[in-house]
Formats: sequence, structure tokens, C-alpha cells
Amino acid sequence: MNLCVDIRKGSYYDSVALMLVTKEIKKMSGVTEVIVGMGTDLNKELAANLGLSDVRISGLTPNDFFIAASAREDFKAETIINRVDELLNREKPDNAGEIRVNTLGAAVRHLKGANMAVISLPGKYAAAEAARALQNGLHVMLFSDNVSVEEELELKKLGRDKGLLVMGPDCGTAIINHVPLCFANVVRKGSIGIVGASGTGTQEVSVLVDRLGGGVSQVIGTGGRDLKSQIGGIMMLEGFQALIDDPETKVIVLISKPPAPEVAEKILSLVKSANKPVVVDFIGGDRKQIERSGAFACISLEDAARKAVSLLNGKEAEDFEGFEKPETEISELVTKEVSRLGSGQKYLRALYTGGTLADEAMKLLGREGYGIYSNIPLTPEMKLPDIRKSVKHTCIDLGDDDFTLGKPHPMIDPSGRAERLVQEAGDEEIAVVLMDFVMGYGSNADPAGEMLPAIAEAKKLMKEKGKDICIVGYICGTDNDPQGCKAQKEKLEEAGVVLMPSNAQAVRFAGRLLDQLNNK
Amino acid sequence: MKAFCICEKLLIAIYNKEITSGSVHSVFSGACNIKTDKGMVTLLSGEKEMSPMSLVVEGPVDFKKLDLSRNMPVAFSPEAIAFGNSSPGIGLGDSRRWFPGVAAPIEKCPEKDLLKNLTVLERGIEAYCKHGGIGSIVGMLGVEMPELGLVTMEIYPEDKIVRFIKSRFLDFIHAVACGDTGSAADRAASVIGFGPGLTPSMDDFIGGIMVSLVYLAGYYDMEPERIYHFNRQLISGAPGKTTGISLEMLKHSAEGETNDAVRTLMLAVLGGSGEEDILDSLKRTVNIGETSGSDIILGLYVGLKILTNFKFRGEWINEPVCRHPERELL
Repeated sequence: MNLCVDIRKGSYYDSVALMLVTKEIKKMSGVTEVIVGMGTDLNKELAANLGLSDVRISGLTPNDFFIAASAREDFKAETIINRVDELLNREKPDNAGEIRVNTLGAAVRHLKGANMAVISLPGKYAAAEAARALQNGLHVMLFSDNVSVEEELELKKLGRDKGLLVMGPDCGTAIINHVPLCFANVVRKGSIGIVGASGTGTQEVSVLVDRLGGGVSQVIGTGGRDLKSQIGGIMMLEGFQALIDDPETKVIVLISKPPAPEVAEKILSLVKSANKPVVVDFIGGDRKQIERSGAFACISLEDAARKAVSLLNGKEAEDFEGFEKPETEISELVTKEVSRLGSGQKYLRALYTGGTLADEAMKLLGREGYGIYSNIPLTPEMKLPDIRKSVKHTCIDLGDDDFTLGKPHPMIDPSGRAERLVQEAGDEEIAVVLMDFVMGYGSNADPAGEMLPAIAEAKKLMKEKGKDICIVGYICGTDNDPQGCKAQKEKLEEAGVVLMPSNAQAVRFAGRLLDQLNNK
Repeated sequence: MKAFCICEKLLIAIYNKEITSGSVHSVFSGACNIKTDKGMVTLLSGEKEMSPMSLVVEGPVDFKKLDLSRNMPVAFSPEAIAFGNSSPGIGLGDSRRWFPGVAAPIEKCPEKDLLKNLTVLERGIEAYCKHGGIGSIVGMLGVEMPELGLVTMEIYPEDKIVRFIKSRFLDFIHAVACGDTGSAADRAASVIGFGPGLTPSMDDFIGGIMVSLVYLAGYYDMEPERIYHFNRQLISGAPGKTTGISLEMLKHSAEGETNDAVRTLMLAVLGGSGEEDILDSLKRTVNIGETSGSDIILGLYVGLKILTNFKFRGEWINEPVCRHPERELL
């Protein structure tokens, strides 16, 4: 082994720089051990103990800085010295003028006029910080999960009493005063207000509103648990009332999975006082109950967006349950895709990054008689025995906690889905893969591009067996999103992905493929 | 540039002409140290914590952009601090004053609340402290000295570095726990200067212990001189064993003088402030340096665990051989 020593007498570097040097030198290929520090007696003794000392080190004073590293025989000391120089002389980013704060109190003092806190901390500590924010008069968007139900209830009661929003916990999407927060899309400003207990559900509706020529006034998130009995829909009610009172909001859309019955009653009882149209998508919820309240019920998230825009334009709000493309075109496309598949291919694998979109897919396909296994099944008997192994028709929410423990969400890092896709292609019975590509702030910079190698690999694996695979996709995004929807669309279509303009239409198309394969 | 806030002791030394000149010792983005006959004077950027013998300028400043070089002469007057180049000096008029020591008497909460505050501190340590400095060694301490009742920290496999320092460190802590001045001095000398950082991690930790002993002496109405004497003995072997900057820090800490974040934290723990104040000041302290703040907090914590422990406090109070030369034997 080679001992490499770099000594800088009478030199002083701040601790952050020293820590950086230690980390970076340790990472260098060929370096096995390193000590970085001042030449105090103990540090010199430690260096000797670690076999990292020689006469140069032993002669140091406490005010001398040294680095001693053991490395491969062929490793040159200059390599380390040059790297240390690079690190220590690195220009700091020109934010020396920025005040860096590390407490909420300091942030409030420094950012006068701040009225919102976005909190993303481990759940254990998030509730306390959220409470602190509320006490400081700030609305809260609580991105964190693993906050207890009791803490959520206390926070929302406090928020309600103070007239402040508590969006969350586990709230990933909001657009407040036209400012997208966390995972959100660049959507036209307009008159449709949305309150959603679902991240990608809210994104889907806002994106489709934009695509249909409408715009949003506010998009308020409530967190996924808000409409359960224990919480009682506190923030859905607060958000709903806020939009009722907002003169800029002309149509209101409420989105959630089916609420607890008493919570649904409370929310729907507000409809009468709204004096503006209210569209309610309790995804798969009780249509009659919604209509009795005077609100407009929906059969899909797309339907909610279409109805909202129609109502805004003074038109009838009719159910949309077909395709944008003419039926003949759809039929031809179905026939063409099916013709490429081999015998025995009959199953669907839906690999979703958005949980609500996955839920909608299962409900829509369920109405057509397909039982779908899942990690978030509609009924307990359809729970996958092993969530990492698909069975028959399977729909996976890859953003669920089981898949994201210690890993980034698949909307940020699609590599987990890429691996799963290739794995699915090992099953000769699969015919259709269904995927969402969610754009916007917070999402991966190139969701389509990240999946292309896996798509090519999956198709190659099937071709080797004399089969093929039909990939149906949906891009949840707008033309103004940072990823550039047009470019994303082109990439996917070039890779042979059949794109549909909404999740509902993509699911319906997948259903048509399955119908044909199963001779329905 | 104007001074926003200045340490009272520094201002008095300037007014009394005890400090009239110095030379630049070291320059960092957020700080500049000036060597004087009365010790190190530190100029700090606006967002930094007030510290003994320092001043904080108004607003954020990058001292590295002021063309200050090592050994550059610096002149001190009641009006301003002037550098020996064309850099703008620092006006001292109208600056706020800051006292570095323990403001006596300290506000005290009932002991049962102090113990509750300790659990809040423990939660804060777990959540916010960085453990890259002294953390793994204190973690080892929690296992080897269970009588201290330290919170279980994430223990990494005992590496070569922990093994190297382990027995000396345990001996040092035993001596502090018993208030044994004579052996504590020797044992401190065997660990001072250990660890990474311009102020080595062990020194920050010892600084934290000493500050906590001073504050707890006030809380428990112990004879303050005994603690000061103990602390001064503790660091009596430090010259030559650590960096000049760290030595200054140790000397201040021995007198209970520390930066504003640490002071606020101790007062919050001892004075019945709520959880919010304790965690806020803990987070302020963590933000000091890379691991310095966390190492100081761990020192405060171990000092608190020693003296809030009735058994150890009894050793301190009843030990007739506190080695105080003028104290009558009990």
C-alpha cells in the first residue's frame, strides 16, 4: 500500500470544507483509508495507529492541516493533492447573500409576508412543525406521511379554528393562487376550483381542464385520509366553503375515493348553499346520493373535468364514457394491436405511478367484469399474495409505501417501474401493459425517456418467444409542463406505445384489447 | 459595514485600550478570526450566532471577498475596526451588546420538568444531530456506562477510531461524573484535540460538558467557584494539544461563556420553556459548523445527565476532595 500525505501548515479550513474533503477522498477509487484533520497530538497518534503516519505527520503542530491516506501501490499522491485543492478552492455558489435559516421562527422573521409552509419531514416530527406553522399564522401543506390520525385531527381542528388550510398529511398536489406546490402541473388560470383528497386524481382533473380550454382558480389538497370517519372531512369542507366564497371560482370540483357515509352526507349538504355548479367525483361512489344533493356525479376523473368545463361554458353536463377518436379508428387500432399478439396472450399488467389513476383503472375495468389483482385491491380477495409477482390481470400502484420504503417515488425515479416492466415481459401470457406518465413539477425530468430502454427490452423479450406486447400509455401533463408534453408523446409513440388522451380512455382501450383477446 | 451586535467583553476591552491592534489569523466565508494580545476576536456574518469575543455584522457578508489576507494588520478603536487595506472597516457605534456568560440568577423550572425537558432534548438529538463527529463515541458511552442513562443512539459497528479512543474516553467521563478534579485534568489531556474539525470534535464535546456544569451549578445552587476551578483544571493540559481556535473556545467554555444558540438551549432546558423553544434552539445549535454544534449538544447532554443524576450529583456535592485548594473539608 502507498501512503499519500498532504500537509498544509498554518492553514485553516472550515469544518464543512473538511467534511467534504474527507467524504470525497474516501470515495476515490484506490483509496482504502483516510484521515483528515488538524495536527493535534491525538490525531497524529490516531494516524499512526491506523498506519497512516510517517515523519512528516509526526512533526506537525496542532495548527497544521493534514490529510493522510492509504491507497493502492500505483496511486499517486498528486492525485489526492489535486483533488483536495479542487475541493478547497471550489467557488461557493453565489448565494453568500442569502440568509440561511434553520428554524421556522427564523424563517417567519426573515420572509415577511409568508403565508404558507410546505412541510416534508419524517412523520415523527412533521406534526409538531405543522402545529408550529399554524401557530405562526401560516397555512400548511403537509407532504409528509406517517403522521398519526390523532395528530392529523388535532392539526385540522387547529387549522379550522384559525381559518387556515391544513393540506395533508400525505398531500402531494396543490395549486394556490396559481402557484404549483409539490407535484403539480402548469395549468391555465381560470374559474374552476378543485378540492382533492387525491394527488394524481387532482392532477388528472386539472390537466384535462386545461386541455379542454378551461383553467383553475385554486387546487386545494386535503390528504388521503381526510374523508375517513376519524377526520370527518374537515379540510374538504373548509376547502369547499373557501371555493364557495371565492368570487373567482365559478365551478367547483370535489375529488376523493368514496368517503365514509356520514362524511359524504356532510359534504353534500353544502352543495345547496354553493350557488354555483358542483361536480363530485367520489371515485366509484354513490351516484344517486350525489345527484340527490344537486351536484353532478361523474363516472371518471376525465368525466369530472369535462363536466366542469361544460358547466362553465353553460352547456349540459353529459357523461363521457367513450373515446375522443372516432369509434372506427379505435376499432381498427384494437384489431391491429391484437393481430400482433400470439396465442395464449391474454392478461393485463397495469404499472402505475399514480395511486388514484390505478384505482380508477381497476374500477373501470371492474365494471366490465375484469377481476384485477393488486397491491391496493378493490376487495381483499384480490390482494396479490406477493406484490412483487403479478398474477393474471394485475394492476400495481408503484407509489405505494411497500415499494417506496427508502426509495424515491416512481414519479421521481422510474427505475423501479422499468425493472418491473422487464420482469413482466418474462410472462408469456401477458398481452397488454398499461402505464401512466405523470409530468409537472416534482416529477422526473424525462418520464418517457427513462422508460424507453425497458420498453424496448420488454418487446425484445417477447419477440424472442415469437410474441409481442401491446403497451398503452397516458401522459398526465400539459404543454407548459417542464418536461414538454409534445416531446414526451413523440418518444413514446416512436417506441410503439399507444397513447390515449386520458387515463379513462387508456383504460377503456386496454379493456377493448382484452375483450377482443378473450372474445367478448 | 456596521456591527449589528458585539460581545460586551470585547467592547470593554476595546474601550479600555486592552485591545488596540491585531492581525488576521484566518478567513472563512462567514467568519474572520483576528489574533490579538487578549486572544482571538471573531468577526461573524449576519446570520451567524453571537459568540464570546466576537461581533456580528449587519446582514450577510462573505469575508473571503474582502481581500483579507493572513497576518494583515487590524486596528481597533471605539469607533471602528479597520483593516490594513482598502476594505471597508466595521463601524461599532449603535451596535447591540451581548453578554457571553450565564445571566444570573437563571430561571429554574421544577426538577420534574427539567427531567421532561431532558427527554425533549433526547428526541431532538435523535432527530436533528449529526453524528459524524463525536456521535459514535457517545453512542459507545451509552452502552459502556448504562448508569448514565443516555438515550440509545444508533450505534455503528465499533470501528478502529472508536476502539482507539474508547478506554481513555471512558476514564475521562468517569472522572467528570465523580467530580474528581485531579484525575479529570489528566484524563482530559489524554483526549483533547481528538477528531476532525478546526475545533476538534472532542474539544467541542468537552466545551459542552463544561458549559452545562456551569449552568447546572446555578440550577442546583452549587458553589460556582468549584465548577470554574474544575473546568479550568480540566483544560489545564490543553495548550499545545489542540488548535489555537479550539483552545480559545475551551477557555471561554470553562467560564460558562458560549455562543447564543447554546446559551438559549441551556436556559430553555433549565427554565421551563416549552418543547418548541428547546427544539428551536437545538436546531440553531446543530447549524454551527459541520458537526461542532452537534458535538457541543452531546457534551451539554452528558453534563446534564451527570448532574441531574442524584448519585453523581451526590459525588460532586459530598466529595470532600474536590481538590479546591481553599475549600474547607466537609
